[in-house]
Amino acid sequence: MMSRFLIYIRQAMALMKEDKLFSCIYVAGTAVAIASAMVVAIILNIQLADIYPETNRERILHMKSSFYKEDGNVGRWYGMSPKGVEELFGNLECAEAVSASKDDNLIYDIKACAELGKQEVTIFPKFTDDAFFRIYSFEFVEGKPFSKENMEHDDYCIVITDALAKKMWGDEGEAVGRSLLLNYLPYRVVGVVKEASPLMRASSADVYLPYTVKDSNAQYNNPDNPYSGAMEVRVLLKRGCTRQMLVDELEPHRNRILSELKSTTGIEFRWDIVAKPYWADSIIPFFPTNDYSTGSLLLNLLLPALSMLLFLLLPAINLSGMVSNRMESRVAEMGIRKAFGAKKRVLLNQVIQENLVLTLVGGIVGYALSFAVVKAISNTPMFLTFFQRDNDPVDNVSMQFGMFFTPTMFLIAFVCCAVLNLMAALIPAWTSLKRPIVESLNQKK
Amino acid sequence: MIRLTGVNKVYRTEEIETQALENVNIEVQRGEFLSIMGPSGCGKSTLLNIMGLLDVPTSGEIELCGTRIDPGLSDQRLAEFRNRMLGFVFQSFHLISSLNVLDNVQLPLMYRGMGYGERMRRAKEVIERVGLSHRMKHTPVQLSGGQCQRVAIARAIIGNPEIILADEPTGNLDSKMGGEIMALLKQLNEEDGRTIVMVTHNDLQAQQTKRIIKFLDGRQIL
Repeated sequence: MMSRFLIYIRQAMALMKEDKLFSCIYVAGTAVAIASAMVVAIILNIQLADIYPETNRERILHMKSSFYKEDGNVGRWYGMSPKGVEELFGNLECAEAVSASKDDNLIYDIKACAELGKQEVTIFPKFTDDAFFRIYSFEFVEGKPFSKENMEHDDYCIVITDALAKKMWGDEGEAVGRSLLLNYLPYRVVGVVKEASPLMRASSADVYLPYTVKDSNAQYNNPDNPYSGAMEVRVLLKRGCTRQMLVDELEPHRNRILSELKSTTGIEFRWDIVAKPYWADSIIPFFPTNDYSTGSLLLNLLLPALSMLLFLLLPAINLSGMVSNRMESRVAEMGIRKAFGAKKRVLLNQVIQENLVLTLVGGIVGYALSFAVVKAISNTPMFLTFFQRDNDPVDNVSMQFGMFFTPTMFLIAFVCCAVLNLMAALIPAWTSLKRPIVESLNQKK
Repeated sequence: MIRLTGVNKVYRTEEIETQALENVNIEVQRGEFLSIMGPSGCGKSTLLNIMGLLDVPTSGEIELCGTRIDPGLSDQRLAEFRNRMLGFVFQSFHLISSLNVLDNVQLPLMYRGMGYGERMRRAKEVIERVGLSHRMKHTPVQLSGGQCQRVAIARAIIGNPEIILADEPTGNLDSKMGGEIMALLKQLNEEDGRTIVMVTHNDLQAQQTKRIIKFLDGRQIL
């Protein structure tokens, strides 16, 4: 059995050599079909899968807050002040960690240098808090995160990425304890983390600073409303807790704050708080909705899934026409094999195995090709649009193996191609096997 | 060894009906070397294909090696029968171009389920017998016509079949190579005692066989 299989593999290889053009087109066609589908799959994988350091995405909620005045004056304030975060999210049963960050893009023009006169680089900052490092699973290469005490004392301490540390000090030893100038103000490095890819929008940055430092503007709040401000909140749910449980738990706190506001300011506010699951920020919402159920996720995945299917099927169907023609030309061979005692089942197995070998080669080439394509386009604005980073100063997108590793999607794409290729080969083979052998033998090659 | 009784073969299309064989009755004894002769289109090859179970008669009975070939015999049984009892040599060789000589020759044994080592040993043995041991790794396109036909003969005899059916085995060869192939077939008949039925146009070659039958318009005339 095994030796017969080896002969089929050898024959598949011999066929590849014999008709190089056909084999190249077969492998290339399969590769293009699989690569096209896999590019979409890789994008979806980066958007949705657990990838460093966002390894708890299923449990992370992005809290969007907006205040309105109910007196008819047009006005809307997004975000919360540190006070708002503290009062609304303090001591929640459902939350394992609550982190406030400034996600806006007002403070991009930050230059970093190791010391005055040395090379300056523009960095991408994230103003956040100590809980941020409990929500996202950063790997600390050196040191540790800044603490609550650091924030309370307004310490100028930072966590930086290993990539920035290398850029600043090369191989000059540990970065922790050193001073880094950010817009010429010295910050003490307390921790160095393994860099997160810029495609991980919620967690990536070059430098993580406490939002309490002066430059952050995080302390800004609305003069009419001390709860509204510039912060956005991310909550890591405890295991077993649901989004709805969190929303229900927040409701009494929200009502209490609104009535306090009314009594202290005399203004009636409306406060919308939306708990968005991770995917609502990740995927492009083709069907925008405030319903964040699984059904809504699936609806929004419909278009990428259809495009993936289209990318997969168009080249695959074209290829199957060629495979079918090629099989027609091998009908005589089927006749020869039958004349010397091959049973139909054995011949059909042979056709399946030969085509699987070629499809497998095409599949592997296609998977590798999809890596190369994604890597090649990863710095283009079009690609960054999928991760809402097209307006950010991203000039070098680092990517990790986990982003490409989508075995399920690869298997689905491979099976689709294999089924099409097999059908294209098996139908003429089956038709020829049903005819008298002499007809197959006389079939012109 | 081979008995055909009242065999008819009719090819039908929408417009015409062609009687390729008409009431053919032939008996071939074990160890015979029989030539079938006749002009083109007289039904010689059709007869050989029916004998070899490569085609089915419209009516009539076939008996091979004492077994009546029932029209309802399963594909599996027919395949086994062809594999064990019959060996074919075709005018246009019908070698598989993507396989080398060794793999072409061992084909019948592969479908018999024989182990790889034994298959290779026997394939090398028969290839040596047909004088091509120096061409084992070559593919058919790298061989001359005579060499291809030797490979085809090696493939036909590797499974030790009782009957060898040769359809104009020298038809595509020059006279020298044709002579060599005839010598090989005679050797197989005389030394191994194999039953050979050969279709040929060539009178000289037919004279070298033990019996000749002649066909005209689908009927046996001699």
